[in-house]
Amino acid sequence: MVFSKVNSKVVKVDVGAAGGVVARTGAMLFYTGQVQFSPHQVPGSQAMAGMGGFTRMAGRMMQGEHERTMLAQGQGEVHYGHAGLEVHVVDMSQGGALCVEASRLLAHNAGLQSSVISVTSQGGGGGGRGMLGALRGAAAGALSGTGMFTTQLSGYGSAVLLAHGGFIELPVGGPNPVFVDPDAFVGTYGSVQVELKSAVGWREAMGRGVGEAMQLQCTGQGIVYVQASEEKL
Amino acid sequence: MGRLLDKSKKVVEAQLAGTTIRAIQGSMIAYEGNVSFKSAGFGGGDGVLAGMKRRATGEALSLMECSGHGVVYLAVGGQYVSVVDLANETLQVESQQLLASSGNLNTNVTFTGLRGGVGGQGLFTTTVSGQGQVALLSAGGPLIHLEVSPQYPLVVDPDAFVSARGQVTQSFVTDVSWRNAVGQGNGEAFSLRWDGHGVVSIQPAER
Repeated sequence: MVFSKVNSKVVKVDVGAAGGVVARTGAMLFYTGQVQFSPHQVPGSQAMAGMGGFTRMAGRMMQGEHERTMLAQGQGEVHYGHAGLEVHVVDMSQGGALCVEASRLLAHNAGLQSSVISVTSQGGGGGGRGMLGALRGAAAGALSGTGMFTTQLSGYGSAVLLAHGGFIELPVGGPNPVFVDPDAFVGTYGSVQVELKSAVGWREAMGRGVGEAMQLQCTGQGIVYVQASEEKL
Repeated sequence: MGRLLDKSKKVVEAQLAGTTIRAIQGSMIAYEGNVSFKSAGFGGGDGVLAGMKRRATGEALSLMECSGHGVVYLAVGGQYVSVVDLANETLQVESQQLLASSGNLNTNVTFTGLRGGVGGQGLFTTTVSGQGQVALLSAGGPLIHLEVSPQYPLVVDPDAFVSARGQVTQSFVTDVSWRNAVGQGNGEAFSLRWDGHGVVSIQPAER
């Protein structure tokens, strides 16, 4: 892993060894050596701006799923941190896909493929669900406030996630299904499908709910990252 | 009875095997297995009388009952957590710092004297007694446990106080002088004094 934690809130990375690092704009704390920073765009998100009609609408919907990023290149060591939030390094040297909200992604190897995908196709498992699946995913995103789109990183390397209040990692794929509060959900690694499940009963309708009406059900094989707080980033 | 464990510094893991625990509403961050959540009701599971007492005293608890088979992960706002075992003891705790409780525990509201009547902390405190476990929240860092003995009474800031266990009595210390009256106070006019034998826990932050 090229990223190493300095403490629970700061990571350092050798840019030369990493072959370039993409990070949130403004997250650089300090660096040593010869490092150049340049603006970096997720392919596609900029091209949308000039178009009209449906493409623009899609572009606008995807805007929430995009943070301005910068590319660091050269030789040297860069320290990254953001807003005093806790960091977690995900080792993706085995390959696989990491799905995470753009606002919770601090940095990753430039070699990782970054794409914005619809929540319905998350984890690669929802390919054949068709229009109904897409609609359900859209509704799920809108209701849980996590958005219709999520950022997917794939390839070999490592990525750094952000969370308020520290992380716990829950393995998915055991005998029991795993449910996560949408506000505490950070991301998934591996082949994990996420589906919104509502536990709305007559209690919620009567206004006597307990604030746990919406839950994300995680199935498949992999890891889900959860933060110890219900604070959104 | 459901078991409470420290999953990490900031997350409590509650293991359920057909049992029930009570926790602050909305504190579930994740769960495995088959668990249902419902409001513990007006009295927080202690009946209507207790509920009315809480409403009247401002020591309201919005609790939910988690029951079923599986593991529930609980956390609030990235605060540190600690699990305390109670064996037929009484714990006095600030109601908002009580994250979860399991086992055969009764919660009650008691009058604690005139402390905080001016300081804004309320005249009442929540007591938990019986056999079981409670999980406490602590902002700013892990809980700090301070021992109280007859020779060494302890004075704490009401905003930092979290819980007290053992044979301790609390009294209210004021240090109000003409300085406070003219707005030149130092912000430490009211304090809680503890006498007796026991342990008082505080958090390294002020509410």
